[in-house]
Amino acid sequence: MTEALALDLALLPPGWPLVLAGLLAGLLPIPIAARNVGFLGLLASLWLMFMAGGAPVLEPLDAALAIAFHLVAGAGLMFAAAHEDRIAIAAGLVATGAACAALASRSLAGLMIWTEVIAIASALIVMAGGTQAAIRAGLAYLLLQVLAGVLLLVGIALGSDGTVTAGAFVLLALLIKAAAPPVHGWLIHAYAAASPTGSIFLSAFATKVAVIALARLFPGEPALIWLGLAMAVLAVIPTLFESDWRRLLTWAVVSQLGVMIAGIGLGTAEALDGVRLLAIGHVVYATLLFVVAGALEMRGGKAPAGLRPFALLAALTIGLPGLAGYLGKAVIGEALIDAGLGWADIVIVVVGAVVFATAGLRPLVEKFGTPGGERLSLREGAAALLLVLAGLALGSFGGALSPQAEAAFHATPLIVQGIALAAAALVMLTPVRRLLRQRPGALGALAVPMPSWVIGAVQGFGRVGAALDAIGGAAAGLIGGGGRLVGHAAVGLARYVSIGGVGDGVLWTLTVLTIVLIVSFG
Amino acid sequence: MTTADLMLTAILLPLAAALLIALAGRSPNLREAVTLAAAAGLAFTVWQLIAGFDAGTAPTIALAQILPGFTLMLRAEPIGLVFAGVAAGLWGLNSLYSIGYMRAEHAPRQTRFYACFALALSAAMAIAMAGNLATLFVAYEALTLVTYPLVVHWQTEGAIAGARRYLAYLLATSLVPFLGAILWTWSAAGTLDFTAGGILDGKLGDGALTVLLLLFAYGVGKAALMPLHGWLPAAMVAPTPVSALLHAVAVVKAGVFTLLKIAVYIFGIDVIGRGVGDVLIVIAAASVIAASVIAMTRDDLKARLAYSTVAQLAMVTLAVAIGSPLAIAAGILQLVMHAFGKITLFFGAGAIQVATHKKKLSEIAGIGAKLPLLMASFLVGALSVAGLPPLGGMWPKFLLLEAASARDLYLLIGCLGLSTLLTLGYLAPIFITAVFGKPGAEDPHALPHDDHGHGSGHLPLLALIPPVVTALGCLVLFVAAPAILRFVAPAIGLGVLP
Repeated sequence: MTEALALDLALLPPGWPLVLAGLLAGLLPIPIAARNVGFLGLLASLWLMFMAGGAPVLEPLDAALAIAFHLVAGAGLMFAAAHEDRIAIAAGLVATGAACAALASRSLAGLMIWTEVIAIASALIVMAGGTQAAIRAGLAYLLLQVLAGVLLLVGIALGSDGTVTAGAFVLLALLIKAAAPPVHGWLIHAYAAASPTGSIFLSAFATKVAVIALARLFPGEPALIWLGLAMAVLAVIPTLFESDWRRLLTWAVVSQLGVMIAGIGLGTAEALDGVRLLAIGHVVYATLLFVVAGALEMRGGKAPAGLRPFALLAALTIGLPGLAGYLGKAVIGEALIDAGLGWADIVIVVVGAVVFATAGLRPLVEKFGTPGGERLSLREGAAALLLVLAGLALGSFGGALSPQAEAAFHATPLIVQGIALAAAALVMLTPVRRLLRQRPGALGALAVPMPSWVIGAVQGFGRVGAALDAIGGAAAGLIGGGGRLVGHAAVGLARYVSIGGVGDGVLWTLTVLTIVLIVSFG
Repeated sequence: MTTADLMLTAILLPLAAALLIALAGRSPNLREAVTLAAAAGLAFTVWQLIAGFDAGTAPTIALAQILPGFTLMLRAEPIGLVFAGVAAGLWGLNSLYSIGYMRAEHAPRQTRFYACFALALSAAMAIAMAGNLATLFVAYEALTLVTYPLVVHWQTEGAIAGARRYLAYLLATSLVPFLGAILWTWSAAGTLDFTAGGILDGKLGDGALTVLLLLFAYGVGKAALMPLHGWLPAAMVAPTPVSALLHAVAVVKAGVFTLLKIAVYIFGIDVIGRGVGDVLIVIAAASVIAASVIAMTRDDLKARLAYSTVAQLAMVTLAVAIGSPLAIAAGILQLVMHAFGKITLFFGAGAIQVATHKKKLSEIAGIGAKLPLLMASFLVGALSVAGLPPLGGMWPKFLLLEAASARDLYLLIGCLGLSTLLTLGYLAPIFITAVFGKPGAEDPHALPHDDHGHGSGHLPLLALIPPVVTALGCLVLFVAAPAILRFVAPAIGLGVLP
């Protein structure tokens, strides 16, 4: 370990300016806007990593993930600016820097150090939520992550004699960190209990680093295919019932982590690149979803003008070809088909469509019923826009990151994905949803004593109906008034682009969209 | 100066400083200047010793012959120099902190305080450089006696009772089991000199050696192995800088250092490793877990930290009991890392007391907002004590895991993992409550804008800088640990660095 560490620590790891900025932002005893220190740190870190002319430390896909981390942190800072939250900002910056350093580390020892830093910083982010629930969730988060860290340490200690046991400890540790069931509850509680700003920082780092580490250390471990698929399917079910928006999103995160783990289990070059692409895309769209949810939550559930277009864009970013989420999923799916696991491809496509319907469209239908929230601030809008554009950029140019990405643009995955998304939208956005809704309260009228699990199950089915029901109203926007929605979205975007007035903004946005479509499909 | 001169300087410098401090009692600033100058001088002297150390030419100084065969003698060797380095390095920081703390608390009898502090350092240096068990015993007893006035400092009823307990435990353990073990060793081996490879192999059977090792483990009461740990929580009546001295700088460290020294130079590492230490492994591991669990139940911050020390230093005893070069290396590193981590925690607890006059976990909700740097240092110290990277505390835990796995002690691996979680379980709540807790409405002191001097959240700079420095030390030690390993490797027969 001394040798491995000496190698890993010989150079300053990438991301160190962010760790420094985080410490300064949190600890400087003078009044200073933490976010400004953070922006400086982000710029310095990007500069050092990509422009200062040093030897490239990261492979293209890892570098793209590092950039995505920076963008997420940038969006988090912008969002936080509207609701200053010093500890969350400081810890978020440290986590960003540590995540970049973890990507660059080449030894297990280095990985352990940085994941531990991420864990501590993330636990602080959760606790900064301030409520009793947040503190409890943060402590649970910390203890579980440290347990994983101890398992890693034991794995390294045992590893000196190169046994299978050592590998098992490391695998177990990484799976805990990647929120694999049955050890996933910590993630759900933590994300839901953090402050809205905190949840933006949280959703990006810890789990993605664990996934990348799994991809490096355990590619082609067949058991992971099954584990990953089970995780994807089991985690997507609660998204149908969950009424707390952030918990819903977190279940969706777990489900997508399952898709990544399945890809790692397959372990072909195509699958692994797909996993990395999905990790990058997921960082972008999950954060975008949390930004939208956070903006609404900040207003006590009253929808502000200008948020709805972003909610729609966020939903589309999950899976629409040409946007961030599609690329990785499609490449993993193609890899599964190539390996003769076509059924598994169907599973992940369906799971992806359900996530699109529940995490993307369902809030759009259900959560925007009460208008009148305070106007979306420029910074919140900028945070969302930054991520939307990142999603566009990744969807458009992500293909250049890996030769395997080409698979995503074959006709089959495009058509399959198109059908799946359309079906999801149909169920979510048409009267089908209303027909299926059932009032859970009706059960009480029966007045027959029943074990609670029966009630739970019945209510569950009722809620499936409700969920399917939820697939309704938004396409009243998309199908009935699709044009209006697109226009609305464009205008919403334009307010924050504001280059020469609204009209130019619309033109500009439409131009970008058109270019993206041409690049993607041309 | 030659190595011999430096060794004598290290012992005599604090002694002379104690005298000067007593003389300068009328002028507090002059008195503190003497302390700080002596601390700097001592740190420099020990550094010279470490930098110039060469096993081939390390001299032995015979001071006096008490009885035939009982010679007081000094000899420098790597483990002792590491201990001396820690004690000397932390003395200056602790003194700075003492100035901030004692003045803010308007403590009486400060001259006696600083003088005894210097005497304690002199005794610690003598322990570190003792050339045989007899010398070590004399210096060890001296340390007990000169720290008594420090523990009893406030001279309240509670302080007197606590200090009596302190004295009773330490004197009783050293007069019965420790002295008995020393005499047994002498009669078996015919010498008490610290010798590479030990002096007992072949002189006693393994059964007798097992008993002898247990006698030493409990005779060195300063190591606070359960169930003879009661003096340590009792000594919490002392002012916080004294607690820091007890836990981090000299006293408890002298205890576990003595055990390490006995393991390496009296028993021989291999002798213990072939099964002599097995009973002690169980006792030490149980001590680690039990003390951690007790720590969780304590509301008083310093009591929590005291039980934490019992748990963490049982790990050094554990390292001794495992008996392999790797384990001994873990023990030595634990001595260093725990010193830096725990002193940070005590500085933190004391600073909280100075700034807010609160001593209990249940009272400190929300005070962290005013003390961000202090609480960040506290967090770093806590994580280091728990053994998380990238802090120094990770190394001893890691080496212990390796040592345990090399001997296939899987249950012990589980214990060590559990101990990290338990450590966080009792340390993290302090940080969390202070930083994220909401002050209760029924507590009048918790109201903001309470600026009546006491509880105003004002912290003297001298009480803030030392914890920040030691917290940074925890970080630096993470990188520096391999250097320490290389320094002690020849003495303990550690071939390849892990």
